[in-house]
Amino acid sequence: MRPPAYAERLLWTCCLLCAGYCVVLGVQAKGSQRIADRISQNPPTTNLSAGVQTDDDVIGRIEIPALALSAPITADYDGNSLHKGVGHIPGTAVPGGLGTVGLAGHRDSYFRPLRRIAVKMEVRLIDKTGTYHYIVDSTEVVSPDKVQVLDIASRPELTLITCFPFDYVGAAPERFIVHAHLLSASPDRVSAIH
Amino acid sequence: MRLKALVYCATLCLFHSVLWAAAPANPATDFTVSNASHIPGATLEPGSYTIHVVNHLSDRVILKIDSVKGDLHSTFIGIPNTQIEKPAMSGPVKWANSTDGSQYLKGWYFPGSASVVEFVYPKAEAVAIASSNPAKVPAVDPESEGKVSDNTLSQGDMQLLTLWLLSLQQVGPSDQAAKPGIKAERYTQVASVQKPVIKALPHTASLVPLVWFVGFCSLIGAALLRLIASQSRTSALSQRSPLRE
Repeated sequence: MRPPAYAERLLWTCCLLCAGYCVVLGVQAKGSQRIADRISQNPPTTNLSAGVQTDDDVIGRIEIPALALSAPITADYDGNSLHKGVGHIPGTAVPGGLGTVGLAGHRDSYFRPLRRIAVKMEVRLIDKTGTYHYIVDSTEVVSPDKVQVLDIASRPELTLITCFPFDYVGAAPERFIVHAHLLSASPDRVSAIH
Repeated sequence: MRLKALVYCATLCLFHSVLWAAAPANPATDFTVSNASHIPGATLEPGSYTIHVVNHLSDRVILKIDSVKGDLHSTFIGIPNTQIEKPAMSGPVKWANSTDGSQYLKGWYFPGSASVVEFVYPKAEAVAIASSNPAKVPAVDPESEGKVSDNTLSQGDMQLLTLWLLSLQQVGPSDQAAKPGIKAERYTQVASVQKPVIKALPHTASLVPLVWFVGFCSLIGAALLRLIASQSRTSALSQRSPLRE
């Protein structure tokens, strides 16, 4: 066999491997998305483990209706978790919690629509306790060492983190931050005082 | 000289005992509950109990309630609140409205204290109380600070928890119709620098764009090689055919 034939086979194999990698990630993402969808469908009091397939990694779902963004929230932000969804930073508040919720996501997958985010947009965090509504206050670009964006503020907040610039190939040097605040500490609507 | 020292010591002891009688450092009170009442993280069934202050801190106190039978030992946070009207007698202060038919204790007035010690409830219970009472309800959310949310929370952790005030208010963006919700605000701003939860912000660039790029280049390269090979084969065939003719 001539060298060009070897090269051609090598390139086809490489192409197939890359496509396979992307398909595996896609299937993984689809699976965690299905689990996240199921979390919101169950009433808050229902035990998720009862007869329903669950993934301990997926703790909820984030939605930004104006950007048509919907992604699962995973319990950590390691490489594997970020392939399945948006990662919750351990030590920060849980969705709807009293504190600052820190969520990190890939800028080239789940958090790609964040480039179009604007002030006053609604962000929904859904977990087994219900749906919590946040309103976007501001965005900023910071260096990776500015961890103060996760500090507890005077009101419960949400900090979304992704790499910046969005079109950078490789390890991006900066971080794009979205700040939002919690509307109500109770999930969904609260009835008036009796 | 000895007499002077003796008088001095006696005065000091007397003064100290007067102070102690006015506001004991760690007061303890026995009480009886006739109807089931809720305290932070626990329910007091009818019976006899003892409440005492375990620890005094700058902005909070750590309280403990023990049942005489010994089947309940609950430790929780309280905050001295001068805005709550002191009852005529020492004892429990209740929330005006019950929540889902359950009576929650608002705080405790220790004999001789300057103020009522208001109980700090876990978030879920505080939300329920705030939904039924037009007041600010002190709350903590241990789970949101990476700590356990059950009754095994240590005193050390209780000293570090951020305190919040929850109240029923109209919440929502100014340009949209506001709806009733539970507004949360921090009880006090801690002046000290907060310990960061992570050392650096997460690296959120995946390999997918690179993999796509490599895959795309491989596809183009393979297709080009295939094209070159087929063209060279065609030209070789066309060169052979005139020779045969």
